[in-house]
Amino acid sequence: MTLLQGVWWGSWFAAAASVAAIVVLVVWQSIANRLTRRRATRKALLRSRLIVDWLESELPDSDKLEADDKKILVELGHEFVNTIRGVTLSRALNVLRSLGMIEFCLSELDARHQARRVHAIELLAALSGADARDDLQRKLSDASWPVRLAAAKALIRIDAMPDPERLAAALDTHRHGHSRELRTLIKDIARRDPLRLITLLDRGVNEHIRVLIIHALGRSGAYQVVASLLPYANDPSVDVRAETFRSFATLQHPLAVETIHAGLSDPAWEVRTQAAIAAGRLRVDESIDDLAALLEDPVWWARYRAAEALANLGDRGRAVLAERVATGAPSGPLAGQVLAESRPK
Amino acid sequence: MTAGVLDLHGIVAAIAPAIAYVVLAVIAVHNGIYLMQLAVAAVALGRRQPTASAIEDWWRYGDATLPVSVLAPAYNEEATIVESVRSLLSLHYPEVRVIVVNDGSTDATLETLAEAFALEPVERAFETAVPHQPIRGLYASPLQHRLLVVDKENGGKADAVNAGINVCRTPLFCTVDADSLLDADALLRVSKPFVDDPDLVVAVGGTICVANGCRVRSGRVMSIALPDSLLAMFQVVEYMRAFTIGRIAWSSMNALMLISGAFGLFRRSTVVAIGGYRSDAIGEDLELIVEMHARLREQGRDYAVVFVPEPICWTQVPETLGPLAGQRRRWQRGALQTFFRHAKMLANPRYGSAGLVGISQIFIIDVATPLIEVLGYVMMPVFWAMDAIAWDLIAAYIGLTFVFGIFLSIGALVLDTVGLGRRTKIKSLLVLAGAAMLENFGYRQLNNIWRILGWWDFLRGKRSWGVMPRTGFKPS
Repeated sequence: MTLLQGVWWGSWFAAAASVAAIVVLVVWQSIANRLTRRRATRKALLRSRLIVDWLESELPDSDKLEADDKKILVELGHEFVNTIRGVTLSRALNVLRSLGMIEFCLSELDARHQARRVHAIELLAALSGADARDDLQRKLSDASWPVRLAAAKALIRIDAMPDPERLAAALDTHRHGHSRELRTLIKDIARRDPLRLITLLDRGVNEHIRVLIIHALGRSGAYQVVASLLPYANDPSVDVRAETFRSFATLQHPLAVETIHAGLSDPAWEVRTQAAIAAGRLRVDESIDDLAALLEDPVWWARYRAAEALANLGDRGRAVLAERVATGAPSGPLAGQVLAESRPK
Repeated sequence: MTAGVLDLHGIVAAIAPAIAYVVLAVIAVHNGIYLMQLAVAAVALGRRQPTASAIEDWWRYGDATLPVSVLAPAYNEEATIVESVRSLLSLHYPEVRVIVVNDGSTDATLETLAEAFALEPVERAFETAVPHQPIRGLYASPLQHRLLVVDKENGGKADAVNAGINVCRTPLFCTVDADSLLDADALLRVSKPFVDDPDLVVAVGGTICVANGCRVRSGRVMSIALPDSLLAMFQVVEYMRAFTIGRIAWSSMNALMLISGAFGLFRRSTVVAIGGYRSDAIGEDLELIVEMHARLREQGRDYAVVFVPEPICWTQVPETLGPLAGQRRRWQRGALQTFFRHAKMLANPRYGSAGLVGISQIFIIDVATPLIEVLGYVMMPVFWAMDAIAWDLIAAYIGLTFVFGIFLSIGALVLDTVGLGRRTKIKSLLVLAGAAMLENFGYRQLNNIWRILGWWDFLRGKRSWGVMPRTGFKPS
């Protein structure tokens, strides 16, 4: 056979194979559709039994459950944990415990599919509480990052937080190290135990983790961290300095006033911008002259945030903006827009 | 005279096999690219974890998302604008603003919006970071604090998006066509790569699906169905092959060169850094992404342009030949304009996979193949009639252009069904399989002829968009 004949016959063979693949696909899809429908029906039935029947009456015998029912119950339990609160959730969890779901979740921790492992972790934490600590800590070494993250979140939820350094080691991988989900996790830690993060910060962690911790501490609302954050306003990293001023803006504690004032003349525009926001939020009157100078900053965002901060500083700040408008200064149009935008309704 | 004819016949007999082999080689490379696309997409889909439900995504990363401004440029959309805006305002996303840019509409688009949302003029400071036509006014709604309307002078879609970019204050912006519909969870799903790697990702695209035939209520697709029109059906197969499977493949190599203007999420600072959308670009969405690749590679920056198949944007496709021809000619002109602007990237290792793979596949698929394949439609039968080439060459040509296409289209359908689980109805599968076979006998050839006409338009310097009539969505 020549090459050209090979192309001709090869094309027909490929086309015939694809038609055969469609036939197989149709058969496979019919079976899959049937299984999906059956599972959906069973899931709806189990949901209604769990909510309506089992919560109100005698608990079922776990032996009467069908083969896949426990897998479905893990999904339902996971749904409940995320959507129901209070007494109803406690009672639903009691039902699930009596159905042997703790043991089943433990076996599901090593399931092949990542989603099943994640569901099992979340439900196990709700069912077992602190008793699940060892099993959940083991999952901090899971091969899959979402599973490790779910384990970390679950450990924090059951107040069995592992050493933050171990957490960082488990979660700060090359691919996922900068995930914003990590940011949420560290915020959870900060809400529960901000001082522990301060200790970690002071121990000297890498720039990325410093940013995450400072961000989390800022969102924690814990005023006692302000003093510990002050030195980071002079950190060599622009990102760390900017995040520190962002945290000052959120915490709004007067202890940071002097540092904020100094931040307005930082060499990096990102830091000046965040310092201006913080000055406006804390109403730092002594910064008015520096904020006015910032109105001529080469970067628009720094100019805009300075104008916004001045507008927040009451009559004196607004007077500076009005004066810029009246004198036709280069910053006049921006000052005018910010004055109009921030006009009390 | 006889000697002259003999000479001509002799010349044709001498050059015909060479021309035929060139035609065959180019079409073989073209098919090879699609084959590689299928293989890479199959691997990428095989590695994917099953898709979580939208509510689970919300639980998992809802509070880790970045704020987004949805930019909806509108030009003469008075009939559909209110429904579109309501649909955008009801997107399931933690922190989202909707910015409608009225691009100097000559109908009552602005008045309709003003009436529906009780718009009031507002002042708002904004940076003129990218160029656009003057803004005439900004309007906000006391009923919907997340809605902002920008009224500007007409400058085209790219110009309108640029105005939106300047006015928005969020780190990310999402472009949508005012006449397209997003699934409620589309924004949350398309933002996932920005949650996973906010430092690396600069742009994310979602899937564009054909809405013809689907039932729509209150700006949402309520039931998915195939279109009645055969022409629209061919486009369903085409969108699946090129816009879903193709983009999965190119994305996995960081060589994705197009994020559709109908639905894309972008890092604002990156788009501003490259000067925003080019108002003179015919295919402004293609131009933006190619420019992004070029600039970021030249700066030696690590970045990723990503495609995620789960989020869906529904769009109407033309159901008659005239508008479809116009659309394809415009796409062709856009591809040619962008290719020639960035021709230095072609097979240039400095631009990494974007140069070696991305722009090279634009060259093969959009620039060279239409010319060569249409040349084949004309020359191969002539050569054969003149007895200048053997039947084997004709057979190989038919095999590569008509028959192998069936394999590629059905392969895409199989991957879409198995890998993404989108088509579950057996009837739809069978109908699409039929369309996937049929499209190779007529539709593919027609498309190539439109592309040649696009080439002609491009060489004549035609730059206008033309009119794209819409049939409207089928109400539920």
